[in-house]
Amino acid sequence: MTTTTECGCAEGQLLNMSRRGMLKTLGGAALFTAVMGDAELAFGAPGTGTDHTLVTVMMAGGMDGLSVVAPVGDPAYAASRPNIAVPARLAKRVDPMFGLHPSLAPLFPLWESGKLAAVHAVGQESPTRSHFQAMNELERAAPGSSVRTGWLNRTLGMLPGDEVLQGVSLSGNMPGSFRGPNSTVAVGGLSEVRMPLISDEAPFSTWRKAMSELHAGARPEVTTPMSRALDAVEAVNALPKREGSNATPRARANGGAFSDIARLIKARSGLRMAHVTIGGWDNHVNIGSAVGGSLAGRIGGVASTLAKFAADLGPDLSRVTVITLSEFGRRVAENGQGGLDHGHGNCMLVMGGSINGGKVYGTWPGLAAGKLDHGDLAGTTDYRTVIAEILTKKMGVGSVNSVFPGLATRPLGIIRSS
Amino acid sequence: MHAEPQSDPTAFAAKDGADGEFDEILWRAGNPSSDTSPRAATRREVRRTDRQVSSRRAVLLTAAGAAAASGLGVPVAAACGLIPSENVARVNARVKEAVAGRMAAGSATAVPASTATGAAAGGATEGPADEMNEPTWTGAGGEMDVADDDVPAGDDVAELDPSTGLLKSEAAESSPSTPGDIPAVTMPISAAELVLRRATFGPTPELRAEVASMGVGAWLGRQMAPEKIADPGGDAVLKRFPVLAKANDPGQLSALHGRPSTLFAELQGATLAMAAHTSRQFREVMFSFWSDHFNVPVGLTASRYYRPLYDQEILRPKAFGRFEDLLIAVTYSTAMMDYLNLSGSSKQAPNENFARELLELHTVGVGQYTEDDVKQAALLLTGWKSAKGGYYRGSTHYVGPIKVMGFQHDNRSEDGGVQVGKQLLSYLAHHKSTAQLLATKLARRFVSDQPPASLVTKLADVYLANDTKMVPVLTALFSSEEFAASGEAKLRRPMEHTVAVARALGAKPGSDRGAMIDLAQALGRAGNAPLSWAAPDGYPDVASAWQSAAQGLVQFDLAYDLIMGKHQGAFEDVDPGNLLRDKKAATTPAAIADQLCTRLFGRSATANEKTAVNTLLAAQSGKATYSAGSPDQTKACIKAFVLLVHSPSFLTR
Repeated sequence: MTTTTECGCAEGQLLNMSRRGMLKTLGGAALFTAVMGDAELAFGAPGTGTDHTLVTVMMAGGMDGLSVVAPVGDPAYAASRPNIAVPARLAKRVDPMFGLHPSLAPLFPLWESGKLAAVHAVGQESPTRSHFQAMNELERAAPGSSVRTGWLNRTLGMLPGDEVLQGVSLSGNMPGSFRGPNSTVAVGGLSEVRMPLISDEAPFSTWRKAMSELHAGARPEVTTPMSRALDAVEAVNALPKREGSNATPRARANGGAFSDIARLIKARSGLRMAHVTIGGWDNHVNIGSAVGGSLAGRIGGVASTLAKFAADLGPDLSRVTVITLSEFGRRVAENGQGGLDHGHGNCMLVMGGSINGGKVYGTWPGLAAGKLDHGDLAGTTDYRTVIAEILTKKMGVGSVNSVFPGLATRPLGIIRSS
Repeated sequence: MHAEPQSDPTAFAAKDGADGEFDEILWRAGNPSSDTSPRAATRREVRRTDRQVSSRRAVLLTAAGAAAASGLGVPVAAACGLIPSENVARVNARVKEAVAGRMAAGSATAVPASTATGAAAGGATEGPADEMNEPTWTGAGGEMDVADDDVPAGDDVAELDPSTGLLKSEAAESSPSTPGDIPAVTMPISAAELVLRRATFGPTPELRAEVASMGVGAWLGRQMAPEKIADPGGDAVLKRFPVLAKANDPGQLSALHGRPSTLFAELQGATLAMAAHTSRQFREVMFSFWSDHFNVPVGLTASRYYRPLYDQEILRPKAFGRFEDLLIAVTYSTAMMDYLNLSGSSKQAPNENFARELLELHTVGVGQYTEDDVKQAALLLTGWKSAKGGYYRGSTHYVGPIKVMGFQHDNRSEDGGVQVGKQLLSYLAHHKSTAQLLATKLARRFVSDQPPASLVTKLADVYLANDTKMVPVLTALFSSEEFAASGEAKLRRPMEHTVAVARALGAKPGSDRGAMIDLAQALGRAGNAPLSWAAPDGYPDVASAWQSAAQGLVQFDLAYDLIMGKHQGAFEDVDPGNLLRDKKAATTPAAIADQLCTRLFGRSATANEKTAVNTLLAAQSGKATYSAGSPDQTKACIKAFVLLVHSPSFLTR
């Protein structure tokens, strides 16, 4: 499977680590195999405020934003990457500066219909180039404070309602952004939201009754995790059965996590925030050409998965916004092995039915030597600015300072005012 | 391997002055008088962030440097037996109060004037914390008649005399034949059982027998001299996991495991296995405490090589020693220096990262120091280079006068930097705010999410009066009335729950490292994989941090997997059939419930437990009796076991 960190980079392996135990309990490794490598996901909260869902896709390992949305109009770009730059002639030119990677082709229709946008030169305050530290800071999202919860968990705390599927990680691992006091579910797939004995040995209702008899009179802080777990099983059991079985195994493998998210959204289960991790971006060697290289394949995998997700949602895409995040971007200049070392600034993709798409947002700092941050693309837009706009305009979060303490935010205008 | 440019260490370190809150405070959602919902906790956390600066000026809680404080003498002196016979009645009386939530009502209160008057005994003054000076912290032992060695020698263990009359009564209490069928969910817990639940990763029938034969006081005393305990279980783990056995040779570790990610997973698996199997259970519990207190997440590249050494040569061996020694060893360990950027901190570019956490997390705590103190401490600790895991080079050490709180030194020489640094650490270790912080954390770990101020004060006093030794502090803790009254007050964290299930099953060390690693990483779904908390403050130790459906799902899943032998290889000899002590008698749901509860809790089933087991079993089989050794009986036993490890008595420790 899976742990396709080409570099042997230690921290990359940690982040994208193959989890044998997780696979075992998946009842099939399909979810994590094939192109996507590791799709880890976690999703969010229901509520009465709005019915919008934010899907956060974590590109773990450090996605090369300079390939995904290539600054082909910046002369320093091709010069810094003589062997691996995305050639201007192959990119889908979207403005004088930027061209989309050709592997994003499945998403071009969404771009053209205004449902896909990019933000370039996003960054975070922490200058670290360590995967572990950068990811920790990204997920904490509160630089300069000693808040130690994750931003997704804090957001859940700001949403009305208390439905059990308000925060679910389908990642097989609880991401740092989920840390905190608000209830979340962390599994590798919806099929894991179950209790083995319950289905095998006695009806769910009997277990529920026995647990409640067992817990009668006990302090809530002792019994709440289990009662919430039972709630989660009940909620997932109540979902409409998966539609059809026309998806090929390969397609399932690519998009199992997204298929689960779509299922929850369409069923109006109360899902408010979903989180998927897609690993394999730590490409220190041989990323290959823009057509047929390893990075091109990975980008293509993501593109087809997101395109399928959008199609799956149909009209429901209007109440969904998808963002991509990565702990850092990659160095501007290629290294001696046809790869890219850890960098800083990056791009984000934003997809949804409520956005002003077809545009690259942000402030381009340029790639000239004097403009770089220690050899890397500088970050001119705090990634939290993008999230903050979605939270306030679509998720019903009143004060974004409650999620991102001290963030001075000015919306970029990505969300359509309607 | 690639370099990881920490392009601007000072910038990275300078996470501004807003270091006010960490989870000890932010998780404190249990105050009965306030909104305890998670949402409220979130709001509080954020609000607090806005107030950080002012909150840092919080008034120092007087530790009442009263070594000879009134009331202290009784439990401590009595600690020879740890739970004195005269306390047995009190223990029993207090159990009901505990059930009534007495513990939860404990809140910080002013130190009684009477204790403050005793300050002279310890030489402490009522002045600000930074007035502490040398005569104080090298200090006056007070009137401890408890072993004043940090680790009791064999003779001392013998002196921890069990013959207080406690032995017999406890043996009776924990005996399976005790009729304990009280119609409340929370059962009175015998003193011995309570000690076992807090000082181990889960009681077993074998441990209960051990305690019954030697007395709980002697047992605890022996546990605090772990090197004297034969440890076949721990030895088997060391044999299985070279990552621990070869900890002192990072180079060899690298060769052994090749990829660092493998090494990291090995360490997680080893940690879980050690918790499950070592006979030195109390030390392992204290290891877990220090591992959180001095957290170095294993996810970091460097710590993957140096964390094994950190665990094997510092945290475990020094778990019961003087805090001062532990603090110094941790500070100058490669793992910590690398994690918090002491490596590479120089006079040209001092890095404040470690200095800040030293003051905030490791010693005096929030509100006790200023930004200048952080900067000064950082300057004093300069001189470490990052190459080869870190070494001292005087030429990069800042020279000049240093003042950190009440500590002052001329710091005149480049070569003297390490020694002066140690003096600062010694000063901090003996500071009364450090005493207060450690007493609070220990009481939170072993007694209550909101430890009673009376207990915290008492422990802080013992700590200061005993030269920062842990054994007297822990002895005072386990012999305190507050401890005795705290039954079922502490929620087991997911890893603790899973290990307790394995121990209750009688699982023996398995032969498949990979299977153990799988199990360790499965805990990641509950946010509790071993050694993996990313921030410097360690896993939260309060129930409010562990309220997710995620935790319930994982705990249930793993309990089921364990009893079904799905982790065969990680653990061996798991046989559900062996859980019933007397199969011939286990013919009804009620009898099965009783036998399992005896194994799990050292007592028979409560009314709630019986009702629940009955509901579960009746629904499935449709018949009320099982013949001995039949598949039906085994099946019923499995279901009842999985249910009962979710009893409030098992969800708590």
